[in-house]
Formats: sequence, C-alpha cells, structure tokens
Amino acid sequence: MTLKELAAGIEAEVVTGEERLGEKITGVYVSDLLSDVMGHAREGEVWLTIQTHTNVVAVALLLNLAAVVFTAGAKPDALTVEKAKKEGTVLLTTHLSTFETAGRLYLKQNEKAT
Amino acid sequence: MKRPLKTYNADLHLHTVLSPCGDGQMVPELIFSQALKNQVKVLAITDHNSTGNLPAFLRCCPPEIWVIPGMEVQTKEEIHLICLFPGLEPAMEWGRTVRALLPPVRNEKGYFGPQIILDERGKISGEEELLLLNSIGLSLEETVVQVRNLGGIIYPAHIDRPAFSINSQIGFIPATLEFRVLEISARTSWEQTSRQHPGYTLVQASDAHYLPQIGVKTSTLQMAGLDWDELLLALNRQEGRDVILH
Repeated sequence: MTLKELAAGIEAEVVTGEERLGEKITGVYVSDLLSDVMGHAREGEVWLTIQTHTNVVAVALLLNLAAVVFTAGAKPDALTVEKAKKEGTVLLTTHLSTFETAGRLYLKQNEKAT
Repeated sequence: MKRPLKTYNADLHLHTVLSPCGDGQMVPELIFSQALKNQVKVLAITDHNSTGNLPAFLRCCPPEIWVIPGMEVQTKEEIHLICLFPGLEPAMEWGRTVRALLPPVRNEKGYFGPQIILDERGKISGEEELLLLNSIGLSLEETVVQVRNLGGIIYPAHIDRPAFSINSQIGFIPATLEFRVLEISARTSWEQTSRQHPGYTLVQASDAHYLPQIGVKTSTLQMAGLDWDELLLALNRQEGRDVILH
C-alpha cells in the first residue's frame, strides 16, 4: 500500500510531506507512548497516535517511519508541523477514531495480501 | 535557641548540556553566573534520566549557591518526576540504577540534540550514547519507592503540561503514592492549581533549557538555613518553614 492509498482509505488530510505520498509502507504501528514506539515500531511503518508534540517527529525520524497519522481529530502542534516540514516527515490527520483507522488499514493490508 | 527564618530564592528544575534539549551554554560557569545575576540561591540540577553532570556542578559551585543533586526521571507511563537527593552519593547511585534501566536506543544528536558529559572542572569529557529522552523500565509506583528508599524526595513535574505530566498520562494523582509536593510549570498560575489540588505544597520552577530562563520563575523557600533537613521541612510546610510562590 502506498501512502496515497493509505490516506484515501482513512479519509486523511495531508499536513506535510505531500511529495512523498508515492512511497510504499511496510506496516502500521499503534501506540501513544513514544518510548514504546522507539522500542517496537520498525522502519517504513506508519504510526497512529494522538500525541501531537514535536518529539513525535524526532521519533519518526529516528526509526525512519513512513508517516505519522494523528487520529481522532488530533491536530499536530505548530512546532511539530514546522519541524516535519524541515525534515521532510509525512504527517497526516484523520477525524476517524484510532480503532476505525487501524481497522480499515488492517482490512486493506490483508485484502492486498490475498 | 531557635534559628531565625530567612527566605531563599530557589530554582528547583533545570537542565544542563547533558539533556539533549539543553542548550550548549548550560555549563556550570554560565549557569552559576546567571543564577547570581537573578539572585537565585538554590539550584536543583535535574537532567533527563541522568546524574552524569552532578559532580561537575557540585564541585564548581560558588559558596553563595546551594546546589541540590537531582534528576528529572521519566517512568514507563511517560510521566516526568523531579527527584532530589540529600547528597551526591545517593544521587549517583540512582543515576546508575536509571542508566541500567534505559532502553538500548542510541541518541541521534541530529534529531534530539547532543548529550554532553562534563568532568569535575566543568570541561567536556564525553557524551552519553543512550538516548536520555526515553522511559526507564520502572512504573510510576516502582520509581517512587526506589527514590524514597535512597533517601530522596520525588514529586510530579510540570503537572499542568499537556505532555509528559502525571495529569496528561494518567489523568489524576494517585493518593496511594502519598505525594506531598507538586511542581507547576512557569507558564501557569499557582492560584488556579492550588484550588484544583488542595493540600499539596506547590513548587514552581523554570525548567530552564536555556540560560536566560534560569530564575525567571522561582519558588521562595522560607527556612532557617540552607540544608536538606530545612528543605524537607519547607516542602512539608512544617515548623514555620514554607514554599512561597509569586
């Protein structure tokens, strides 16, 4: 699945990183604890979270994640957006709940696999 | 004879060059001169998850200032707490415990910033390689118990902040942990917080990451002298000792 397909599937708006939407994702990781993400998420995955502060971008860069999706209507802080623009990190927002977002992505990924 | 009570301007939360988010100027000489300029008599050195620069700050401290060895620890729940210790030894012991409990994630200076360790003269001696902006492998309760077992004081940091605070992470202050003290950030008003959290001693501090922030928000300690027992009395608001916010 590409980031563009992912964004369409979860009714997401692109905040930053429009130019990278052709990239493929390797999976999805869901967590609101940054330390948990640093320990368990893998390169190329998309991270679903409601955390919106700037350290989110640092973690995404550290792990080379494909994108960060802010779920449940969460909007990234201004500093977060600024940093993501500077670093080329893809940030998306969706009004869907984390459950709905993860559920749709799970179905979408499995439908591709079969 | 009873010693007379005096007031001391205290900044009980600040970062040094060891914290990845701490500015490169946060070294002993410059921090102390800024503190003296702003009439700060008591400083707590509280780097993220490390006590690595405490020897430098305690050894380089001018006689007019009291440096309290401390740490801003981050628990599993991503709650930040201020730990203060009666001396360098228990603080360093806690530092060793915490380092062994940090996840094996290396710091990427480009994203988080450098983590510089100073020697006892305050000169650069190396860098901490493990990322300090991370959670140690202890829960809130486990952390509180361990710090108290070492003779330290521990209390939730910047409880009004929307990230990394006890309120943002678990939404309330568990009575079972018997906190006596709560820290509020420089951006909030203590009047409002004291209405929301009656019965606690509030401490307000700068959480300085840059020199000009030092002493901008302080707490006034009303005590009979600059020592640990007096600090405990002030934080517990006993025997006329007190913490006064402005």
